[in-house]
Amino acid sequence: MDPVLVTFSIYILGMLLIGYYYYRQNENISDYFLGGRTLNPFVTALSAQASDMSGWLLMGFPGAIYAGGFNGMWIGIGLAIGTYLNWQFTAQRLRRYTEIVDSITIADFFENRFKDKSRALRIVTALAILIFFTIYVSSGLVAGGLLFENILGINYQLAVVLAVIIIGLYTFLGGFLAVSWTDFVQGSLMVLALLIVPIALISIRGGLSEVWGQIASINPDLLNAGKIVSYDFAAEAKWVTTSDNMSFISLISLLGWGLGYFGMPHILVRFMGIKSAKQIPVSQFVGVTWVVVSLIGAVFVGILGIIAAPEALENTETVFLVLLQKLFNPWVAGVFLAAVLAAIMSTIDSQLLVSSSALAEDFYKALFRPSASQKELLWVSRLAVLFITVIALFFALSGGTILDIVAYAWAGLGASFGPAILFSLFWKKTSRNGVLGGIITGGVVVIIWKNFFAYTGLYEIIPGFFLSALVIYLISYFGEDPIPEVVDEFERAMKPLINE
Amino acid sequence: MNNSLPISTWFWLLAPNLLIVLLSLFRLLKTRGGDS
Repeated sequence: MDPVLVTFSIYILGMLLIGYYYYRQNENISDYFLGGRTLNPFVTALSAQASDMSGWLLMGFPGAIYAGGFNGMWIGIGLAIGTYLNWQFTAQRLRRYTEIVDSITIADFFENRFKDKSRALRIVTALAILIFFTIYVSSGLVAGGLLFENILGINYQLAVVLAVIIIGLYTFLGGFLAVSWTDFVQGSLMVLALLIVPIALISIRGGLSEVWGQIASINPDLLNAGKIVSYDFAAEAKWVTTSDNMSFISLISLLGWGLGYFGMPHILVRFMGIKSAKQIPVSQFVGVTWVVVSLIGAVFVGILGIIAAPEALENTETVFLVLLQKLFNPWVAGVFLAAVLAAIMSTIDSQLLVSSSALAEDFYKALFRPSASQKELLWVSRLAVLFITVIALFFALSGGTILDIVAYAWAGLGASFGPAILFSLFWKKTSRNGVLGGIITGGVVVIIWKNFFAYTGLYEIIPGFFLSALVIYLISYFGEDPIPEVVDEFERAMKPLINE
Repeated sequence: MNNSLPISTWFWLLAPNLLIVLLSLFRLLKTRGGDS
C-alpha cells in the first residue's frame, strides 16, 4: 500500500477518534460550543492559531509567494501584527466581558452587551456569519479538493466530496472540545512542517546563498520585497517584473489583512473558551510565536518552490504539495501532507461550529423555538453543520483560487465585526444602533467594493473596516447615552485587567 | 553579487515579527512576576 495513504488514513482515524470521544462527553450546548470554558492556555493558543490558519497557510500563501516573490510577505507581516494586537488588546477583555454578560457566541455577546430586546443585532450578526463563513468554508473545500486530487489521483469533484465527508463528520460529532483538541494536534503538526520543510530544502539546494543566487538568476526582483513580480505559467519568461516601486495602495492592501483579526468569530470564540483570563498572556506568547514561525516558514516554502519544484506550476497553490511529493521519502511526505489536511480541517471545523451556532442559537432558538431543550439544540446544531457544508460544497465546485476566496470572506468578516467588536469592548458610549449600522455597513461595503471597485487595487477590507468604524462612531456619538446597567457591566469588564 | 537577499527584505521580514514575539514575552514575564 502507498505509504502516503497509510499515514493519511492513520491521521484521519486519529482525528475521528478524538471527535467520537468528545461526542460522548458533550452534555449541553455550552459544552458543544465553548467546551464549558475549560481550555488550558496551550490548547487555547494553538487552537486559536490553527483555527485561524487554514489551507491558506500551506497552499494559498506559499502560492502567492511562489508567484510574486518576497513582495507577498507583507500579507504575512500584516497578519502577524494583527494576531499580536488581537491577543494583546481583545482577548482578555472579550473573555471577561462575555462571562459578565453570560454569552457563548458573538451574536449573544452583542445582544447581551447592548441589552437588545429587538433581536435585530442577533439576526444581522448571524446573517453576516452565515454569508461569509459559507464562502470561507468553501475555500477550505477547494483546498481539500486540491489536496486529495493531488495525493489520491482522483478527480477534483470526487476529491471535494471526500473532503466534505471527513471534515463534516468529526465536527458533527465532537463540537468545541474535539475541535480544540484536534486543532491543538493539528497546530503542532503544521508548525513542524513549516519549520522542517524549508530547512531541508535549503540544505538540499546547497545553502542560503546558493538559493538566493539561483532565484536571482531567474529574476532578482523576486528577492526584493518592494518590487512587484507577476507570474504567467503560459509565458516563456514566467516571472516578469511589473513594477519597480510598490504603490502605497498595494502596501496597505497587503498589510490590511491584519485588520481582519478583530472580527473573526471563529478565532474570537477561542478567546472566550479559555479557562481564566489570567492565562491569556501565556496563550498569547505561544500563539504569536507559532504564527511568526509559521508565516516565515510559509514564505520560505513559496520562495524555495521557485527553484525546487521540478517544473513551473500551473496551479501555484499546489507548491507545497509538489515539493513534498518530489523531494521527500513518501513516509515523511505523508506526515507533512497530513499537516496540510490538518490546516484545512482545523479551520473548517471551527467555522462550521460558529456557523452552526448561528443557525441553531440565533435563528432556530431565538426566532422559532425559545423553549427548545439543550438536547434539541445540540441536534439542530449538528444538522446545521451538514446544511452549511452542503451549500459550501456548491460554491467550492464553482471554482476560484484559495487565496481569492479567503480574501473575500476574510474582508467580509473583518469589516462587519472588527470595528463592532473593538467599539463594544473599548468605548462605553457605543450604542446598539451604532453597532447594528456598523455590521451592515462593513458587510455591504465589502460586497460592493469587491464587485465594482476591485479595479482600484485597494483590498475591500480597508474601505469596509473604516466606513464601518465611522458609522458606529457617528451613530453612537449622536445617539442616547447607554443605560446604567450597561455602563456598570462595561466598567466591570474593564477593571482588573492584567498588563494591558 | 546576487548571492544575497537584500538587507531591506531581511529587515522587514524579521524585525516586526521579532518585535511582537518579544512584546508578548514581556507581557508574559510581567504577569508572572506580578501575580505571585
